[in-house]
Amino acid sequence: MVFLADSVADIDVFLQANAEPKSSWVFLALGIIVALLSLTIYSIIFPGQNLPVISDLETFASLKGQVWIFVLGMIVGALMILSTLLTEVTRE
Amino acid sequence: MFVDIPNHLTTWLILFIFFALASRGLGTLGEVLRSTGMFLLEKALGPAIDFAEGKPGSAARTWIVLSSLWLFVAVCFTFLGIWVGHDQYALISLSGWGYSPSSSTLIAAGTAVGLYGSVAMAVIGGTFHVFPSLCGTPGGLPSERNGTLVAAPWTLGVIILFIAAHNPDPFGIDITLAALAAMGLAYSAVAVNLLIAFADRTQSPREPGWLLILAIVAGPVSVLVEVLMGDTNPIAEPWLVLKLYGAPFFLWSVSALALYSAALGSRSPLWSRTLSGTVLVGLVITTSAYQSLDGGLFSSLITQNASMPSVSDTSRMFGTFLVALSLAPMLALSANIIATIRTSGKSPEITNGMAILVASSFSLVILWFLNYSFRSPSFVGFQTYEPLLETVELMTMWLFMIPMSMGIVLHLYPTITNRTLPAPERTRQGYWMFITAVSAGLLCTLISESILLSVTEIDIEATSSLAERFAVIGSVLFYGAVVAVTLHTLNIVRGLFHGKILQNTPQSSRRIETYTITSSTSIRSVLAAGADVETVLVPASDTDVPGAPTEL
Repeated sequence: MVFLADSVADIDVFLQANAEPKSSWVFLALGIIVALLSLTIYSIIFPGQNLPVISDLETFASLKGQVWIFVLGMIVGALMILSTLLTEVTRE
Repeated sequence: MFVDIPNHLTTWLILFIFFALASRGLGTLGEVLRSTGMFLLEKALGPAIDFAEGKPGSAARTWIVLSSLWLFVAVCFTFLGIWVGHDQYALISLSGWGYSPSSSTLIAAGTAVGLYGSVAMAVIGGTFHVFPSLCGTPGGLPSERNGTLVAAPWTLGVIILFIAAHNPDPFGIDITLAALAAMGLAYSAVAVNLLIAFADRTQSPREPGWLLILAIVAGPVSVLVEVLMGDTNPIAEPWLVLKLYGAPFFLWSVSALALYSAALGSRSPLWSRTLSGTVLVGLVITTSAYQSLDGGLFSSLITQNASMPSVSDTSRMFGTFLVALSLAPMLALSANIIATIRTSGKSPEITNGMAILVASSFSLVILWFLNYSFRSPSFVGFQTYEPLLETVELMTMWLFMIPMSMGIVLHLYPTITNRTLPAPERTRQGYWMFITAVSAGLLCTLISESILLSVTEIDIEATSSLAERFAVIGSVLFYGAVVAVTLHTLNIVRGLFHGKILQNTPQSSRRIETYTITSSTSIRSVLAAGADVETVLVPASDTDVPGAPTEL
């Protein structure tokens, strides 16, 4: 391959941008940056303190003893499979 | 007396003799097998055989649909087992009905159903379809009706095994044996059916086919060797069943079907024949040791109330060496599947199972190292990581065995049922949920148990809240697998009725307009992908020149 010196015409061809990233990805990246900035600034201004609201939210640990919520989901799933089988097999 | 090395050598010798004789054709034995076998499979059953459907593909369809239904049961009980592991009174209100299972009981039930119901049935269903195709057997499976019928005793065996996982002797007798007898009956019929297909072959079955037939005969051969060479009573020693439905049956057949599905599903020939050969020879030689030490995944199920015979130090050393050596076929299998799917010139498709095959191939190598590092102290008699082994075995099952069998089912489903899956989007959601939920959930559970183990070792009496938090998060995340399997099972069941009916025009449907070449590729690969003389070959570098304007 022969490499030629850059010309003004090449600059026009190669330095123009034709595509843009998806808006959703731009917002996601901006969101992550803003969240990181907020956390950093909060930890500088209020060192050692819990975050308001977010720190008060219950995490998964509060689900201890709540297995019946999940069992209910399983029963719904099993009924969906069973009803599909029964209705489709007996369909005229 | 349990002498392991001679048993290993004898098993290998018999398998080698079978391979050598069978590669020349079964000859007179084939004739005898054909006539006697067909009589046993159909005529000998009398009117019972009329209950089963004999249409082409009906046997494979029955087994894979049942495997999907068992998968749902397996994931539910495994989730409950993981949950009860950190919240032992979660199901206490069921004790009023006489049902108060422990975590290990629920996990044992889920694993028994997952392994023998889901994986085994998917493997047998897949083999019913794949093996006659590989052998070029005229007419396909010799007895579709018998293949369909024997799904019933196998299912009955799994149900009894499921009950036995909760209570092995509800009537004062060990019902595990009844389960094994029912499954053994079905297994014999499956083996005879496949051996007749093998005897009628018109071509060499290639490496995956050899691995499949060896997987079927290795179990009975191991049991025979054990009975002939040791003081073993096959009725009184339930652990013997490990020889029948152990590593060869599960691992070899899943590997063979995964290789087949990777090549056919990606429309690309297997990447390396050497690696296929390594998988064939390596698995046969090395993984038979999996059953001679503690059996790992396969020993904690049926034999939960039976003690494995101890082996001599020499046998243990020999077995440990073989287990270490088994990394070679695992790497070969993983590399061959991934490279085959990746060289097809496009990203692995989720809807035909290719993506889940790639994911489980990646996890195979990681799981091997995890198993080896956690299990190796127990090979030499230390119990260092014993408390973690249950979770490691769960990871092996839910990150390798089950996703592999799901991938195989997804790939074979349209060919076997002649219908497409009705909801590709549901398959896609199920894939992401399953992979994320199982890997993250079980990893959190493993972290939790590791913390508990460390805390116990340094004699801290206080319970670790961090371990408990990880356990809760792990079980909640694992619930994603329940949802994913529900989507998968619904898709499989609905596909039988609502899937688009495929036209039997394989040649025209395989034709492709363009084929993107990403690297040096043989003409064989291009033709195998469905290209013909009209197909335009597009080098990947020509499709997108960096910095150049988009051509309109």
